[in-house]
Amino acid sequence: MNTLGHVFFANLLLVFGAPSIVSPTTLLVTSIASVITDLDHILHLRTAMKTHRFKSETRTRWHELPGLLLAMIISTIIMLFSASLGRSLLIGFVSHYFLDLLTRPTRPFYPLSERVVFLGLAPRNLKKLTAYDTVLTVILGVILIASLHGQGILSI
Amino acid sequence: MAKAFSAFRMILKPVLTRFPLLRQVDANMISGLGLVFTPIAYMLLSERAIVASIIAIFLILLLDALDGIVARAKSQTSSEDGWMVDISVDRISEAVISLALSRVFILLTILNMGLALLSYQHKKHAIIPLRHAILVILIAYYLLEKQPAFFILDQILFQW
Repeated sequence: MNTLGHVFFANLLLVFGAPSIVSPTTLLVTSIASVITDLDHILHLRTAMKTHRFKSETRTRWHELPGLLLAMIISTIIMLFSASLGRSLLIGFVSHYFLDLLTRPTRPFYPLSERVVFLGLAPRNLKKLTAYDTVLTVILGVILIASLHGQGILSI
Repeated sequence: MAKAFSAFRMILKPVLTRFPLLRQVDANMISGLGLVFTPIAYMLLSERAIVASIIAIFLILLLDALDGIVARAKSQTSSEDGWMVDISVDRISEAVISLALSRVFILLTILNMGLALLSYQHKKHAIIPLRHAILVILIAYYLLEKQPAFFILDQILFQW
């Protein structure tokens, strides 16, 4: 999923699942946590410019189950000091892995195994995938803006 | 719970294998559909809509059982890919559901994720059926609403 899609989805989980902790700070923390995992793609930017996509081989161990395990441990430790900060971090991290597993080919057990897993719920053709991502991102964005407006956090 | 699911599989298998559309459905896609229901279960749990959460988690577990049946019907049982899809979908699904629950379940999810990685490394399947446990606790939570045990279950599920 694209960066915006990750941000929208993570914040939707925060707004609908933990409305009591929603604030500009937690929204920002969730947004950062939802995209920080993608930093490992930077090393493969040059290749991605040519192929117009980040292949599953560009995903490091921090982008798969071992990374999620570490992210969850870090978030839980932070939760001991600040419950809202830890929870918003956790929502951001988990939502990223959720969306990636759902829409992209991944290597969940990397580096233990390099086998690529794909659930088949998103197209693999680049043009169709771009359209799929765009439609999904717009839908998520509209729902998020509407819900933030409904909670009085955002005025349109 | 395991007996109930094996009985369910025994009843459903002959029905599903005779269903012609089944041959066109991919087991991974069914696992993915189960994953799609997960945020719904998470939101319902956050709203403390217990009956609706029970139904949503039951649906997720049903789809989880169904993907195994489809894989077997299509002779994909020995596939390591299928095992990996199943395990990774289950772990991510648990992680999303546990976001709506207390820290106890977040810790159990972390433990289960570690066990999943160790299971792969040592080729031994040792994983806690966490979603099944959540379903059983939710049913008990619903049934014991006016009992003294309700307070303990509320603490376990939502407070700790």
